Amino acid sequence: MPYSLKLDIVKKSYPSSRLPILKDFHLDIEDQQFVTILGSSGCGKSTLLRMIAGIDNNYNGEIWVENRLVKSPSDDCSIVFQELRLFPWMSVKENILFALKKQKDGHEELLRILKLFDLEEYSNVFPGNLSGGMSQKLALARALINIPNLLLLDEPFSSLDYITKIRLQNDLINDLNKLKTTVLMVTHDIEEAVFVSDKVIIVSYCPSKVIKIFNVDLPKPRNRSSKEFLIVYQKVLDCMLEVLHMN
Amino acid sequence: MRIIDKLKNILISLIVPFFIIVLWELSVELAWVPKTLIASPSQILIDYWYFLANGELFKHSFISMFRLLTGFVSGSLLGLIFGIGVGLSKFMNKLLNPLFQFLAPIPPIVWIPLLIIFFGIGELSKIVLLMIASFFILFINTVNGIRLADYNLIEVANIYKKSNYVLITKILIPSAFPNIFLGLRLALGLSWILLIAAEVVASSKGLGWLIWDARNFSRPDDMFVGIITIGILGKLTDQLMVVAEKHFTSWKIRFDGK
Repeated sequence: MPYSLKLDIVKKSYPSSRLPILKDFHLDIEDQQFVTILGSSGCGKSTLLRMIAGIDNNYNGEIWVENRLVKSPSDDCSIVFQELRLFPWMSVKENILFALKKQKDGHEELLRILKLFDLEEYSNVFPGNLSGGMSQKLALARALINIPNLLLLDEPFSSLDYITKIRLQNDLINDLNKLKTTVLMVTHDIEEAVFVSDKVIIVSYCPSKVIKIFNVDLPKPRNRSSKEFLIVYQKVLDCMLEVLHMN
Repeated sequence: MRIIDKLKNILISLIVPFFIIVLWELSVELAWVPKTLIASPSQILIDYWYFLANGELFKHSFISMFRLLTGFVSGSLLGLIFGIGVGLSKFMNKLLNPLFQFLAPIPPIVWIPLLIIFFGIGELSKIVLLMIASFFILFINTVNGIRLADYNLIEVANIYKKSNYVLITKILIPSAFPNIFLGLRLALGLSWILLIAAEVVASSKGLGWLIWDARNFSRPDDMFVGIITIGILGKLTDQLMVVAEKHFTSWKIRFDGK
């Protein structure tokens, strides 16, 4: 399989800290895979996504998206931030169109993405009047309007209630299947990681590096209460606890 | 809001003025206060009608509104332009901000003698006074509005590789709208105060002059005609600003009180 993302990070530190946040972080992600990085809070997961997105270039190493060395943001990579970052003064429609590469002839793309995320009824509504789940859908729709090769998700379900979260996870898997996009998600929620991912990557805490990679070979859509699901969940949990003891 | 609720709100807002007017009328008619000091509401109403009928009120209101709008609009526009420039550019900030920060705290009223020396007691001195006052308020509020823009949203524009033009027009200026409108309302309020002060000091027409002239001839009813007209026009201009603010910041979820 061709690689969609290749990470060769030697070291990443914050100016305010002597200790590196990421060290010897190497990872290859295959095309059209859904990969999740699991790690505890503050281990540099969000920083890693910012580096891949090309908005943080202050590190030693190389990041490749497809055949492009990441130096700056690019159209082939999109990101959904944890805090969503929607423009409060733009309607749903305007928020999505803001991200569109070509501003002309965007009508069809807009309708397609609004339909995909069930946002048609809300196209003229401001984000401040949307529920948490709908706001999350809007952030995803904006990130996917250009159909990027790589989608980066920074704890996208962390602010949602449990029921909304599982509904949105199901929707996301269906939508991404249609778009054939490679996804790299970071989270600290094990159940979420096992439910949506083809691969779950456990990382250590400060300096962060890849400790273990789990291939989740369960068919999608997955049943959260099935024996197979719970076995994978337990394995990942055990590994996470081991990492915690290591720290 | 339903029509019945709106009517209810209007009625609630009229309760206190109604009782004040009744008490006022009684206190003048029953001679609790001398008529030479204060006119009764009924007298003022008759006088108001007289001023309306002979066109005097329209003449004074028109000239005051002309001075107010010319000074306020031109000063605000300049404040907005310079505010955007200083807010966006580090160089402009270094070049102009120290000077403007020095001039801004100077009460605009102290410029009146200097403006009279330069421009005489004609229209220009009053218009320039209002321009100065509006300029600094808009300038400070616009710079602050732009500088307080959410950096996370600017980063989104960078991710989608938007031009500086898009960054300015779609993100920085809209995010500064609440501050800009706050500045506009403050500048408008201050412009009214300065306009009346300038008309009292150096003028032969306008609402400020009307009040001052009535004071010289001990005509409290004429004074109230001027005062009430300023109140009405002040409320109207402020209301226009509120409507514009609601239009441009309709996305904001407002706290209307408990």
